[in-house]
Amino acid sequence: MEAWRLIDLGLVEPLVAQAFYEAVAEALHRGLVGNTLILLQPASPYVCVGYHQDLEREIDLDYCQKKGLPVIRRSQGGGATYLDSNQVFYQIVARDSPVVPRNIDEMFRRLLMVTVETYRRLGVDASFKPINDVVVGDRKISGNGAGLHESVSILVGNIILDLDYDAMASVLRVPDEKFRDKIAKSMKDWVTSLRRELGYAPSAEEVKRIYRSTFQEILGLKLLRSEPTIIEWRIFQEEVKPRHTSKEWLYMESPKAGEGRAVKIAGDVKVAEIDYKAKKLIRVRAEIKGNKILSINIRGDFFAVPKEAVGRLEELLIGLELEREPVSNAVERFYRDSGAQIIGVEPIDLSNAVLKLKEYL
Amino acid sequence: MVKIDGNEFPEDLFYHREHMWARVEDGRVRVGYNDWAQSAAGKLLKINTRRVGSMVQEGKTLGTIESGKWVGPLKAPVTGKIIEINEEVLKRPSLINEDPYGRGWVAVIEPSDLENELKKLIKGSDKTTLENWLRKEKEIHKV
Repeated sequence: MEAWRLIDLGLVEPLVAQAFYEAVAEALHRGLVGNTLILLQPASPYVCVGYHQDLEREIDLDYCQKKGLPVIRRSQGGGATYLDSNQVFYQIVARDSPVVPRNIDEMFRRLLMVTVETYRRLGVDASFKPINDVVVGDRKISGNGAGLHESVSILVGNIILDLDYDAMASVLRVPDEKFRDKIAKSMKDWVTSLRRELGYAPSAEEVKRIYRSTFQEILGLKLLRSEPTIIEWRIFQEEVKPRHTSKEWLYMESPKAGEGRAVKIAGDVKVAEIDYKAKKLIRVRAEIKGNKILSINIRGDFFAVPKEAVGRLEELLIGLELEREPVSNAVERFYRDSGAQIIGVEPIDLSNAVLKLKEYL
Repeated sequence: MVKIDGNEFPEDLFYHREHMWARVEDGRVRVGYNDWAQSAAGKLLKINTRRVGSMVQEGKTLGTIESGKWVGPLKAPVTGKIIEINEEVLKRPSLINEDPYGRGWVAVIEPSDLENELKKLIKGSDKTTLENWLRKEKEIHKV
């Protein structure tokens, strides 16, 4: 039976919580340690941005500074997130193990069965949703990312005890408070936690105990309790920490942003906004699931006669696929049925404005 | 065009074993991500690259790509100076999925040791070597 190290770091500072596994991965790549499962909780809250995100564009840095929230860029992808001690992290770092497929899709499928089963044993009916989500019904209940460090495969994720939706939305940089409210509402619709599903939050110790035993059973491994080695702490202090605290890393240059943004909420749900310049500016905000419009809001410096006419168009667009034919048909129907006039905006402009959301999804 | 299990490999290109392709154009090398690699990665959501003017080393990181919360490297197929980056791909990385050998190119490199480094790459016309290499890659990645 294959034996792995189990390192339970307990409550640790944000940077250790977020990046210590990279030191483990480097030590493993050098052949200095064995395959490892790390469990931990952040001791204090922090904001985490995805590898490719534009920090200044995505995060309200003033708010974070006022609240004393560290901001950390992770080496995995995905969107910005607020993390605190209400999440138990698992970080899986492995090389040359038959248990961990090198193929990313299969790695998620295999390793997230542990997460699914852990939730089930805690009394929540969770299931795996490809590529990398664990859901209860339609709601996401675990965030996961994966990557490769040289010869080492890495998967990191969390078991969510409780969520502070308002804090999650508060750290994001948004054009106005209405957009922030929309994000918070969408998060409540699509992301959940143990407290919400069970009515109480199990202790982190119970979660970790169940995760450990499930990990061993499902993967057919034995976990041996271990402590990080001196070499791993040295790699963390000398390589990982300087990288993560450098301005080059934190403010990593990213491609020029266009006239829009999207905030990933969970799975395939996003809240997006674009500006479209016709003779007048059209601003479109929408909540999109996959390719379907869940809700939409159209504003701008045009004016409509009658003034509430645009609301009718918004209603017609809800539920449609974000594709040219259904969107154009809805716009045509809007003009035909309502007899409305929108000064400075042509029907094609409205269709194009709505469809421009696709560029940011 | 060499077709292997549904993925395309133009014969006039060279292929680096880390999944970048290379096309020699008037002493410069245009590079991108090959068709099998883009299909294995899934829809590419984000990309980041070194800047124009940077020196890149064969086999070392030219950039990173992200799909479905997986971040992976783009390795330079040849050593040299980056003289062009595809701005269109920076804005829309899924172009690599749509047209990996055309509009989805990533960078142009002014090579410093072209003749020797091309010998390390797989020629697109060498179907046998391509197939053998790809078979091993698929075994490793279980695709």
